[in-house]
Amino acid sequence: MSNDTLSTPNPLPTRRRRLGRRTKRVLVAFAGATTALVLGAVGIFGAWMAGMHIPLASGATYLRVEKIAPLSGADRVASGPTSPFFILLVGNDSRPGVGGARGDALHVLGVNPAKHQATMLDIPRDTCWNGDKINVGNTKGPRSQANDVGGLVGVQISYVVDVDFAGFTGLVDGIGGVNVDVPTQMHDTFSGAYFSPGTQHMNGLQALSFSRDRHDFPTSDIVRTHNQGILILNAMSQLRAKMQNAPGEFKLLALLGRHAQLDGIGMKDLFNLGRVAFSLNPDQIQNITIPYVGGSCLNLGAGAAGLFADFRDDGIVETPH
Amino acid sequence: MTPVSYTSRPARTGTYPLVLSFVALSLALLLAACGGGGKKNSAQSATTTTRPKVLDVKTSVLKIGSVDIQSAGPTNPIDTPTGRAVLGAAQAYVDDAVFAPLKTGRLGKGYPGLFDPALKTAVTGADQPALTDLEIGKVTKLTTTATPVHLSSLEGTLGEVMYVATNFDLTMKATGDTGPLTITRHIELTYAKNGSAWHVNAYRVQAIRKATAGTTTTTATRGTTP
Repeated sequence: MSNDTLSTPNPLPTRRRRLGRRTKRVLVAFAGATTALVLGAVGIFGAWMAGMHIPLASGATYLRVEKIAPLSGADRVASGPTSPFFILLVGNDSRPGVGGARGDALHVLGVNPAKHQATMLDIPRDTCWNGDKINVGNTKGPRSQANDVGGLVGVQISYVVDVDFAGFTGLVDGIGGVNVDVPTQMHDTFSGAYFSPGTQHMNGLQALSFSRDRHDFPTSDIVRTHNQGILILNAMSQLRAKMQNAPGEFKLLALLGRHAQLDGIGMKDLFNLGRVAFSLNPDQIQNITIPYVGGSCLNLGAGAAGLFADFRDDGIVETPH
Repeated sequence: MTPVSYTSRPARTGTYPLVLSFVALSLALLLAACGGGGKKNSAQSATTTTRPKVLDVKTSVLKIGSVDIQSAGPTNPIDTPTGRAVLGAAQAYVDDAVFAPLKTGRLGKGYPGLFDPALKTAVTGADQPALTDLEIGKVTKLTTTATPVHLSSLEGTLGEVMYVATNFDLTMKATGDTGPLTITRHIELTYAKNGSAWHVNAYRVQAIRKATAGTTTTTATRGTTP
């Protein structure tokens, strides 16, 4: 029997042993892979917490930058814009539960690179355009919004920077917050804006509530639009302070490159635009809300035509408004 | 072998004085011929002596210090050829724009070619006084020191190096026409690759010149966009 056993072994226990060994190997491999994954995830999280750039963790899109119209031939030869150009800054109201992305914050920045000057026109969202409110244009995309605002003011918009609620807060937090010159007392439960007059350091959510507050003011969105202009210029001033040397410039541009969806524009364009932005003194940029006459759909008020003509010829408004 | 060397020595020592005398005599005659010959030759000699000579001093050699990388995508280190090329370009700048004028009174020939063509008008015009020491001119004594060069790079969304900036300080002590002179320079040059060469695409420079007459500061900041 023993010989039989030796010569003809029972195949069942051997198969079981093989199966057991295979299962063990699979389990060991699974445990190893799980450990490696956990350690890797902990390492990446630790590195991210320590401030290291981890593309997967840091690559959220905060804003969209789109080139709408080509600049003149001479501008392209000189590796960047030399003649006046116009940028539309859009804050849209897209957020969880609210679709459509209407352009609730609309600001046209005219830039004159040769004179190192700029002017910002604030466009109230309820301004009438083609029988509707102008902010509706953004629901069809930034290009449509640019066409509408450009048509209203009479300028060709070259770039649109579009940001939603989440992107705005992420962007402000990404640059370490902003110091905002709060012009008046704010106490608004709708937006959550509770600020005293004077310079206040705001994080993303606070800056968003400051930008949204309209219930504190009799003229509602008109003051809100102007306040948004204040915040933009304050932020520009602080960004400019961080761009005093190349490492500072590169840090901001890399941040922008990681978090911006770029359409028709590349990092080199951003670098050149950044150099133009550095040459501007935000303290000297006029923040002008366009003249209007009341109603639910605002019409252009007296002086608007003159203001636009002054603005469109060289990107800056020379006459006081 | 010994006898050969022994016998040859007296013969060589015997001819050496003769050879030396011949050479000395020839040199004396040659010098006499150059030195004589009337007014025309005297004038030629005077012109030769007033021509500015190159100040023979060893100027600073730049070395890489810290490195900082910012990227819109994956982060890659600055590779060795790029680091060397950019450092070489920065060295060419200090040699041609700063050291050459102080040593010879003229800019180095390669100076305009160090910059992006879009900057040529500025670097040979309005910004030249800040970028170069041509206005100081030739000095009689010169010592130079340079801080290590801080390299910072901006990389694109694919991790490709787009711009490399060099930041460093340069200090020069010299004796000029009006006495002792100290020049301190803060130099930031941003390079972009143009074909196979790295050209200065933007700059921020400041030159502080302390002389007996007073202190002057000139600055220039410019990118390819004027």
